Amino acid sequence: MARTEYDYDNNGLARVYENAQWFLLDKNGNQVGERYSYIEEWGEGFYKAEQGTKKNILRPDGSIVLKNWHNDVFKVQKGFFLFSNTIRKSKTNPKTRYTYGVAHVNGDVIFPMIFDRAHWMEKGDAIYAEIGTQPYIITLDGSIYDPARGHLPKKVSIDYKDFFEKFANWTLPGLQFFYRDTDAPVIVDTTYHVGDVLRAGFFVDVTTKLQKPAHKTRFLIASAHAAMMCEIPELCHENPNVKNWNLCTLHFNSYFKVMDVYEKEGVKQVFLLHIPGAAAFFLGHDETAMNFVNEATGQETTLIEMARRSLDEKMKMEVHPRSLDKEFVERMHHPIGLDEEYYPVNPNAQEEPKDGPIANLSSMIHKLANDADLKDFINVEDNFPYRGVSGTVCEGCIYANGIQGKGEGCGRLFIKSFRERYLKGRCEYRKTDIAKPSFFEEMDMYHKKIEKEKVEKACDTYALNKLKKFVAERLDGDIKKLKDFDFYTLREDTEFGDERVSVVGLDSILMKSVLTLAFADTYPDFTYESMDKHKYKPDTINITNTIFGINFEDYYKALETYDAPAELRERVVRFGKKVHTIGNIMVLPSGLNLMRNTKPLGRGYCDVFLAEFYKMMIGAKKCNMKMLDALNLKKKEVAAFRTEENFNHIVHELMLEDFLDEEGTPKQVFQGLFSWEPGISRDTFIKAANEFLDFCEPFVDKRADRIINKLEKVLSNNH
Amino acid sequence: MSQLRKENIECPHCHQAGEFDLWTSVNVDLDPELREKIFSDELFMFHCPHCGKVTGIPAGTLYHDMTHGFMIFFDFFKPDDYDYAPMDIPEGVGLKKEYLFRAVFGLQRFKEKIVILEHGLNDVAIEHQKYMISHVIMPEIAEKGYELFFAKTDEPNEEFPYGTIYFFYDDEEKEQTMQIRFAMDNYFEHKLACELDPRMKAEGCICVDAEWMAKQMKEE
Repeated sequence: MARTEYDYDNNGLARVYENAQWFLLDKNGNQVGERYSYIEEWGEGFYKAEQGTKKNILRPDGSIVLKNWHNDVFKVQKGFFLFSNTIRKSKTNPKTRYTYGVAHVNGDVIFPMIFDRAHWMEKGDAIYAEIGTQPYIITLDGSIYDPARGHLPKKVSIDYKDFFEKFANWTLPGLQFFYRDTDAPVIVDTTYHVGDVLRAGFFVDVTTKLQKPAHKTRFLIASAHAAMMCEIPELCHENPNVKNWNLCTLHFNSYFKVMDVYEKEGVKQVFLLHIPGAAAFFLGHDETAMNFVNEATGQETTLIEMARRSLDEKMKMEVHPRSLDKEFVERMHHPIGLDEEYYPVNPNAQEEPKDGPIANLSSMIHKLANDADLKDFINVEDNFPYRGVSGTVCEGCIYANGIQGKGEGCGRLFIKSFRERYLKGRCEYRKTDIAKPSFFEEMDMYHKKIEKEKVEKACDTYALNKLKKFVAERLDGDIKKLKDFDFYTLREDTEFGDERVSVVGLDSILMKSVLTLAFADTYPDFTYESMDKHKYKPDTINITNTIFGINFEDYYKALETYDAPAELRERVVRFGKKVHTIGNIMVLPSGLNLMRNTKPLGRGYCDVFLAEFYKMMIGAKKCNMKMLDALNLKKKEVAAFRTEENFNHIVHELMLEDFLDEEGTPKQVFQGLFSWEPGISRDTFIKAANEFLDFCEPFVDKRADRIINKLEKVLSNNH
Repeated sequence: MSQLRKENIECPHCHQAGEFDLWTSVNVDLDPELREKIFSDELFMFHCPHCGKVTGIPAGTLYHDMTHGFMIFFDFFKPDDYDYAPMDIPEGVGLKKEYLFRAVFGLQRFKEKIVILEHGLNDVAIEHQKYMISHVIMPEIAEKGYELFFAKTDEPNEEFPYGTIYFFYDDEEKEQTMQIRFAMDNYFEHKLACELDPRMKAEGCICVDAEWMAKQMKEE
């Protein structure tokens, strides 16, 4: 019984491996917790436990931290650890992606697996994480922040200088007095206090001219934003009184500052200054602003003095006839800023109707009065922690000169893209020299190249170009030299092997190019691209391992086992160098390629394979249906594909006629000996080996010549 | 509107019957004095008209704050089999779609919830922050079985540009009420955590308290 005990650790526990299982053992020899398929120390006195492919964190008392087991758990740091799973990218995309969560050794899952990336920061004091491309920092107090500070409330401030200027420009130019007299039962002294701000509350009709008041209360309104109804011919035509009364109207959402209440001979005059709504809320009680307006008359007097003088002078005049017009008086009756019950109206702007006659009137008054409220005076502070270019990913980048404001984009990127990369410290667009491509540009070029190749691969252009280039550069322009070329020598070749990864010789670019051109019409939709997509795969026709055993360089196990004579050994070694040459390679649907090493298909003996393939293709009763599945055809394609004619076509296209008898059906060519099986005599082995080579040697040479002839024709037809 | 029911209560001291004002619903916009009575516990006190002794009556109520847009279904005791499933809200109870509904158990937690929501704070984020303080930053609070409560916030100043947030707990060993202060930034970090974490969605009338948070934190 295998048992290994490791040293006791700081917890006083030893990890023990026994019977392919691991457990913790205390100093009294007691097992702590359960047994697992693996246990490893995993930081701060905790352990990683594995159960099959799933992992968890184990406490020193043997208890498990997480309820569920995951594909991975990362080392414990400061009581926290990351855990992750591998999941499908989406329901329809079988490719995988990682997803990360954060947990605490107390068993709390601080964050479930919501992150697409996560790793500890260099100092070990926080975890860097991303959701999509958005970066976050997870702190060790279990919270998280956005390094762009987007989680913090934006501070708003008012640029009072700008605001005041806008206020003055709204209030003063075009300022004139308007009149509204009433005998409404309002107690002026208790209702209108100097300094108060009030909202009109209803459409306020006023006139440009009145003389001596005929009523006890006069509203004198200084406004630059009254709708001058009396100047609109259509309105005057429709209602002549509009002209007769010099009627003007103020919107119900107009705001007024009570500038003065003045009494003269029993008449009380309430002097109101029409101000924009924004000023009502932000400047309403700013006496400096109001004093400025009061004194900005352009004369050596103030608005209040002018208002008082107005009443003084009017008191000496006759009553204007319109002050006695019953209809006019009724229109002017209701006191400004009071509701129907004479309570102050709600100071907040009333929602304005969108449809109907009131909406039309409201819209017309706004238009005539040009009384839109002040805008763009509130600054929303940008929380983004822009600290300049120095020491950031932008340092030295040619686009850094275009960085605006607090990182509102650069010469290449808009604000969001710029900020994400600025904070991450990684930018694929970073470019230090105009002549040197950025990573993004390199990738762009690469993808364009791949796209171009994809098109070329679908129409043989790619294969042709590759073969031509190979013949010219590696075969001195003589395609006949391809006959003995060992494709396994391309394993590390980045041009004709694969530019990204080391490939097995058969999957090389050159091999796929040769097969594309040599066997172009063998299968439906067979192209270079179809091999890239693993629909079809190159395969060795005559495999040596089955009869000569495993080999390494010139060593073949079966030759040792059966003490093969020197002559046979030399023959085998010589043929071994031809196994991966063009004459011994064919192309098969991927499924069939995978099945060839199974016993029913002869473990590599091509005659057995073809016999089974034939039975399947002609629909023989005892055919191997797994071969049919391996073709991976759609149901409706199967019937059309399974014909003797197609079998013959494939065999002839692949140049495998030597495996057929005179009637065109597969024949037994080899003894079908498996060298590792017991009970084989030396003579039997040597006989079978010689017969194998007797067939294969001329077969490979002859077939290579045929393929090269075909390739020559293809190349000459495609100069 | 607030709803009052007159209940006959037998005084546990003199055993004589007296009338108790049982508020089944409290609208603090229409009856602001009732809010004060909750915070002074007076709303739940029976004053015996015969012997003058005061007895606590653990009667639940519906708390309605129109200004801050929330309703709390309050009860003194959490049922033993309470499963934190959202409570059904009768149609027409909520005046606006954005109304927040909560169930709360325990008078102290009730008062805390009122203060949190009156401050315009996210109660899930506050519970998240409290949980992390008492389990990760100062685990001795949870280990000793003390409960942390939200206290107040302070306005921003030069040192703390987003203000400060205070919590308190009763340290029974020291026989003191301990106060903990954090920069308000920390609250916003927990608020973000709740926005990103799908377990922190507290939709409908659910009870968001320390036990709910503990339950959610074990979910994976």
